[in-house]
Amino acid sequence: MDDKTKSPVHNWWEIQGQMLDMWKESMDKMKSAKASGSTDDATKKMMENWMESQKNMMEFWQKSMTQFQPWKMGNMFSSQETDALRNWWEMQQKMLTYWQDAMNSFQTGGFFYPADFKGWTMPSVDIYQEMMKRTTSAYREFMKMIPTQVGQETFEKMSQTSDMYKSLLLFWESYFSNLPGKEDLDKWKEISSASLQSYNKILDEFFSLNLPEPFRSFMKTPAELSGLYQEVFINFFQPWIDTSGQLQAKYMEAAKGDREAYLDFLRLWQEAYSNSFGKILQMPALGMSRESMERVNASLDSYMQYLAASNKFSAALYQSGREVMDQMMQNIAELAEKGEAPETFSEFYELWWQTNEKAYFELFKTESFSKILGDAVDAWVKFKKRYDDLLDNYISSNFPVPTDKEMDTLYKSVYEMRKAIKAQAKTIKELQDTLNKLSAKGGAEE
Amino acid sequence: MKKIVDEQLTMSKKMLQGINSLLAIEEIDVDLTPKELVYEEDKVKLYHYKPLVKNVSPVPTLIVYALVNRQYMMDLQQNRSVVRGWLEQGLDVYIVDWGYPDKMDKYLTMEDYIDGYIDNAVETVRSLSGQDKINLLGVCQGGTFCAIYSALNPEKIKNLVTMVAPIDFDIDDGLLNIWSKHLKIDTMVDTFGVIPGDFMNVGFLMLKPFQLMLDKYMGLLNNIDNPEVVQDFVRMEKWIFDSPGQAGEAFRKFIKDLFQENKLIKGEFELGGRRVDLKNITMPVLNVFAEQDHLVPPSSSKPLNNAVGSDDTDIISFPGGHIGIYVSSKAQKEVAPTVAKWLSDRSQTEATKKKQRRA
Repeated sequence: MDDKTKSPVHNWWEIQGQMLDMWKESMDKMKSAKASGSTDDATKKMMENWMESQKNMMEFWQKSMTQFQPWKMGNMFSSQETDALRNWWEMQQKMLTYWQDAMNSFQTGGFFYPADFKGWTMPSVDIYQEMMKRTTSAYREFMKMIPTQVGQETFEKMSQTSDMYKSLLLFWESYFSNLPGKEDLDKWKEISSASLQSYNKILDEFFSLNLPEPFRSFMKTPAELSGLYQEVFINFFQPWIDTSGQLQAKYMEAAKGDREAYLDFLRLWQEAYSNSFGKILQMPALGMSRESMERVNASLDSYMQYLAASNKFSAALYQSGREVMDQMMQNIAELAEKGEAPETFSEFYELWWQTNEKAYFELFKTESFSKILGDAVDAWVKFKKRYDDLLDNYISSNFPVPTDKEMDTLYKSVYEMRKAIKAQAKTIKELQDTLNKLSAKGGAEE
Repeated sequence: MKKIVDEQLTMSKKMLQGINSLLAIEEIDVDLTPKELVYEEDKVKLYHYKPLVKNVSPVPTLIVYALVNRQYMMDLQQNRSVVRGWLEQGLDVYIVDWGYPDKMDKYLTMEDYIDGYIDNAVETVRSLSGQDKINLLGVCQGGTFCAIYSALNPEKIKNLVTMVAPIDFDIDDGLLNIWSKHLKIDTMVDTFGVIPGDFMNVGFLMLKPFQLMLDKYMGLLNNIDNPEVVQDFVRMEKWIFDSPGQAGEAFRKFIKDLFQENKLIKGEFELGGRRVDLKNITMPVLNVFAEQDHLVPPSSSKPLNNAVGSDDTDIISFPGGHIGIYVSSKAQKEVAPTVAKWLSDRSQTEATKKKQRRA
């Protein structure tokens, strides 16, 4: 069969075959290097080759993907083509098995298994998205082999950015690639409301992008925080609610002098405590003193304050983000009317980030935002302080190690001693210099 | 759908290229200009750069960098090193490296930094060079420190250069200035002791979130096949996130007295019980600022010239941002030679002046 008579499916199949051979070969090499644990230059070279084959594979894949499109298939459901498709699918499954096998060594989580495909019914865009997601995760594991820390971190950030970019692309594709005319108000309203709902997800992704871990919680959506808030309440108080009746009854019996009832009361109290505060704070033996309880309460209270303040902070950010998108959609509608709407995703992306940057600058310089930010940071710092207090208390009661508070006394003493020594050394030097000068003159004068 | 698949595959290919490019970087070379350690105290180090030309200026220049980030930004890469540029122009350069404060340093005050470490560095440079007066060049917060030091010790300073230094903190076009008004600094310092570098970084990222957290990395991805771009990017990235913590007590005073109460420009700032009067700065002053500085806007740097008592003051601006004026290739051609010439012209000692007159 020459090229002209070959169907697209046959072309696809052949490309897949080549790709599979190449893939298998590189995987075998990779696995043997990994098994031998070698990290020398040869391995590095081999890894580079592996990268190269990955790139080639991507190119093949892209090429074949372009061919394998429904609108190019013609009579794809003839019996000959159906057989070809079946073969193609088997080939895909084999390839994915190899992929899974190889990538498993590089990633921590489970792998996307071919059986996860929902057969032919799964839209291919989802398949590829899933594939890319898993591949990116594998790359990240692989990047741990990069010799420099900064290189690893840079890749991690670049990789998160690329995920964000892809999310924005999907958003664009869903809502903006076929813009209606300006006069089609209903269609615009439909787009507007649907897109703003899913736009929250984009904002979620953006506001936790490339931030150090402790600060990400700042950027959670109000909805997520509100869920968290409820969850915290349930987790904390449910055990008390569950046992309250029994506790009351046992307490009454104990008050009448029943020692067993008193022990039961203590046991119930302890259980409820362990299942609420103790569980959350991982402090199974915190004790029952008032002081400890006050500390826990203060910590809980500061946590609630923190949730409320960061909720307000996130709400300000998200509201601005949605307003910008709303405004942008109106602008795009106007541009579309003039035939000047962004035609490509990259044009849209440029417009999107630059418009947002300007809008957030305007928000950030307001007195009200500045206050919200100050309050959120303060609430977070106060919560940290309370939490540190609890940890300090727990550590000092249970482990033979000095706590931060105890070390502070030492730091202060060292600081003061250093200062005193420096001052004395300076005085000694000055006296020495004076003495030297006097000696040079032939002795001290009376 | 084809568009999405194409875009995703292209992105994945770039990621693969990214792995290759980043694998090729084994070491990130910064801070390479040869120098010698001449003084050390606690975590602070003072280095003397080895001269690169025969005729070296007789008056040494001491660089004082900010406590935020690291001083090697002045010597980030050999073909874009401000320090190297100054050495080639004949300056005799010393630099202070503040190190990385840890919990042991939480009680360090602004007095310890200015009256202690900076003064000891100045004394060391005076002693090693045999000069009574030396040039002091402060960068960013280091510039503020140098202005304070020069006002308190004018007899030790021949020329003062401040670069992108905040002097007037009560401005309305700087986000850090606006935000700091509502910062509850006492709780923060009492809780952390040493303010984490990451905390500071989040604040800096928030100034331009879309550019600094997103588009910057998209730019890298689009240039990932250019090893030079990748190398430069990673080098800068190393510097940006190489952020020492801030000694709590010094940070408390810096925020309270300067950012929140703007005491320095008002003539109300006190250090170690002495009031700092900028009018005591009677030596020549060069004030350098960056026109697009979003961290220390020009409006914060400019007022220095009118506040000092010197009658030889200059103010120069360069196009670029807070860091750009040091690291861009254009800056290399302009900033380093301009500052070097200004200092050289004013670094004549009596001995050299006499020699010139005789000649």
